[in-house]
Amino acid sequence: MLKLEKLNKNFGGIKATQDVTLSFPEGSISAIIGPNGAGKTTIFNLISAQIAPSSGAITLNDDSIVGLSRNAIVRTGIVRAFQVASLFPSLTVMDTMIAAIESHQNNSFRLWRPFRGSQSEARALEILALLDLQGAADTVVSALSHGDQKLLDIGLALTMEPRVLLLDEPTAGLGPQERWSMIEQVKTIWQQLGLTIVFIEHDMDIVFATAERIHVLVSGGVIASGTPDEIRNDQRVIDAYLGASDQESAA
Amino acid sequence: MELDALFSCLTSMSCLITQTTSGLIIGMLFFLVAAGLTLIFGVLGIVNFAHGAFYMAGAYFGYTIFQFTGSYAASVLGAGLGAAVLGVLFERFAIRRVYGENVLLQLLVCYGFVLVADDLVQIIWGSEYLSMGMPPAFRLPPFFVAGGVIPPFYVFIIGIAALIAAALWWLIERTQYGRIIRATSVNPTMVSALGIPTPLVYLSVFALGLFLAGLAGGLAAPIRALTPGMGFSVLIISFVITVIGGMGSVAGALVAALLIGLTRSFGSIGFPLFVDGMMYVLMGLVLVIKPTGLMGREEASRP
Amino acid sequence: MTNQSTKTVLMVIAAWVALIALPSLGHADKITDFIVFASAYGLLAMGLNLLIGYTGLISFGHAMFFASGAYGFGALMQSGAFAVPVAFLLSIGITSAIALLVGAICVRLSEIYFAFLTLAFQMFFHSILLSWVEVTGGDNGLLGGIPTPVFFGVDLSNHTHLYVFCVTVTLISILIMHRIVNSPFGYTLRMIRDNERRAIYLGVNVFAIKLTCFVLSAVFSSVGGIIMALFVSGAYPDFAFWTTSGEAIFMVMLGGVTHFLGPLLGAVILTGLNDVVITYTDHYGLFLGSIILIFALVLRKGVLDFVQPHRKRSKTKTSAEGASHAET
Repeated sequence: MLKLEKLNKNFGGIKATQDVTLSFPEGSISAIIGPNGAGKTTIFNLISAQIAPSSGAITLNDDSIVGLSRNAIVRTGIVRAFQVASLFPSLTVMDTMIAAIESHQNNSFRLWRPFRGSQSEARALEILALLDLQGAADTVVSALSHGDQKLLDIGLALTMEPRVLLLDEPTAGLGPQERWSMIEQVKTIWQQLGLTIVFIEHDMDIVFATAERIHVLVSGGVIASGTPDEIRNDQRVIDAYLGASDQESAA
Repeated sequence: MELDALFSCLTSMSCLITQTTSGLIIGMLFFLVAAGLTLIFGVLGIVNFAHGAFYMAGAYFGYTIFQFTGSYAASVLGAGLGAAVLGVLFERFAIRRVYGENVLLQLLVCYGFVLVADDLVQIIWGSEYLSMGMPPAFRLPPFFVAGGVIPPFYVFIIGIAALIAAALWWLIERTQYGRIIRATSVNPTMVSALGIPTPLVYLSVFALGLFLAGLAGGLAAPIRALTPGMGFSVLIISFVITVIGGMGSVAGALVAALLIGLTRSFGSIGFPLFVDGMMYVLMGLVLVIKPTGLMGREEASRP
Repeated sequence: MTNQSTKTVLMVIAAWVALIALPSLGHADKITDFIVFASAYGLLAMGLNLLIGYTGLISFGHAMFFASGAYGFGALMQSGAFAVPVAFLLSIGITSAIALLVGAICVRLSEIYFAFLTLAFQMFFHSILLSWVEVTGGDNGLLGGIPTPVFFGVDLSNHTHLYVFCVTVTLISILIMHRIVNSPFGYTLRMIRDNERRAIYLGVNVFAIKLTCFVLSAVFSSVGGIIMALFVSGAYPDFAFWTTSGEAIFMVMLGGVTHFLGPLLGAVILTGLNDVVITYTDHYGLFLGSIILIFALVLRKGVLDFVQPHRKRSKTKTSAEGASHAET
């Protein structure tokens, strides 16, 4: 169980998050929604130690993880994927995966062992199969479609053997059809690996169709948390957020 | 190591004065070269690895003009202008094509230019050491201050260089042009959106930087032996100065140049074989303690 | 894949046989001289390319290691206390120590600082070579020849033996580099080159990897220096001069940074060019400089094809909108 308690982050005078208290049960899939600037990515940055909280607690299975280094956070099993895919453009998909697995297993200094042909390659194939990317194994990353790059970015996160996976807008920048296939992949990963997944998402149809629990953030504070049905019928959410979202998508 | 010699120099007024003067003149001449280097880096974001070649060109231009006119003033001015014109051509036909490209290409262009420049100088002026000689106006008996020997020419060079430093400060801090180049160094897109032609700003800064380098070459010609390739060691030392002072900071370059000048001058007594070494040790220390240099704003170690 | 390694080894053996047989076709001395010269510079450039091409670190000071190999080996042999293989290994050790020191200071720095700092250290090294006369011979370099007592039946004062030795050492070095480049370490270098920040997030100790690569790169360049010292039976301050580093960079770019053997090809082309030009003109700098300028400014398409792909994209990558590289 990943828990945030009374989490605050101030940037100068601006409160990016205010008393955020959220919990993500083990093996659940949850969405964080909210208008732009609501502090969604800030929460991910706080959890993954990209930035330090001003006050509040973050615990994983009741152990505090505040103050750990980024790499230490990764070792606790919390791994994030990035909003803009951050990859190695000149490597092939397969090489990217093997290289990431090797560095996760502290093999970066192996000078003499061939890169190909180790167990890492089998592991890489497994992950690629899970992502349905095995067909692109020999494609150079820079030649991948945008959607596949985002998938590969999630694949990189999976090489770090996460128990909690944070996905920052996995469908951002994708076409309507690509979005659904992306979120299907995410669901597959969730079901197959039994992870805890938290994702940030703007597309309400996707959120309501995918998440077990939804947390709504407005101006840095949580205004509602609950199942899709609860959220759908929550008057504050309808007032504060869903209306705005309709306008957004109409624009 | 001659620590005894260094100690006795530090306790003797005459030696202190002589070495300080020579440290100042070394420092001020390097400042002129380093100021251009750091200015070009600050505004254009490129390191002009060919900077030393313009110092050399200035020295040789000055030499020739002096041969024909006998006027040191004309030779110095000609040195600066000649280097600036050469710089404009270099910018227009070479450097402009590699702005924003990877450093490897910029490096290669400068390297090619230096090879050509050194060889052209050798073809035009020959490969022997040339000596311009002291201009008649400065063939005066030295000043003696508390037993220290100060040649009048040194006083003149230090004074002129200090004047140029002041003029440079005024230009950058107090004029419209200075505002433009400061803004360009921070945000070129914004400047160009305001309707100011950035290519022209770049060109002018490049020319200004090389004018200073040529000027330094011309000023130093009477007290330096001229030889093809002389610019390179000047480039290296100027770079060390810009690293110590902070890349992009003209004020930092001044402080660092004087520091290096004095280090070299006193170091030549205490550690005659390790003068260059001391300079690198100093640079290493600064990089370890404050990687951005004494007054730098540019991140030296960004991931 | 052991398959792959076997293939590589077989290719290297084939190359060895071909190179050994080549002089028997005639013009033996000319050919062997050229090959030894080109392999010395080829190792310098290939070593350098471990940094430039694979890690994205542009060292402008690699001549320092070329020279430390040549001087280290030469001085140890002149001392008369060591056999060739021992001096060979010791001089590699000396180079590693220097590289460790220089690298520890330099590899944390950003691109431009790194290039200039390695250059500055090289000039420092050059000035030490000039001033430490007792060991280095100062301006004159290591004179009086490098004695090479016979070891394991190999007599390096014999021209044929020397040729076979140099070709063998070069090919073994290339084989080792090939192995390194195709190891997990080699791919970690590529990750750093492409996207350092992501590599850090994946848990890569970027500093240690870069430093290791810096030392390895220096070692291979220094083996080139050792071959040079054997070939000219001496060592000269020019080995450590900045123009040697510049030439090495040009060789790397001329042949292509993205190809494993590119720098070797660049070394062969430039060495060949040197041979021709020097017989016709004294103004080598003018000639080489013009070639370089034409290459860098006019043939830029070619350079870009070789150099640009990963750099340009990794810039796009760090900018906020990463969408554009989907088309490339």
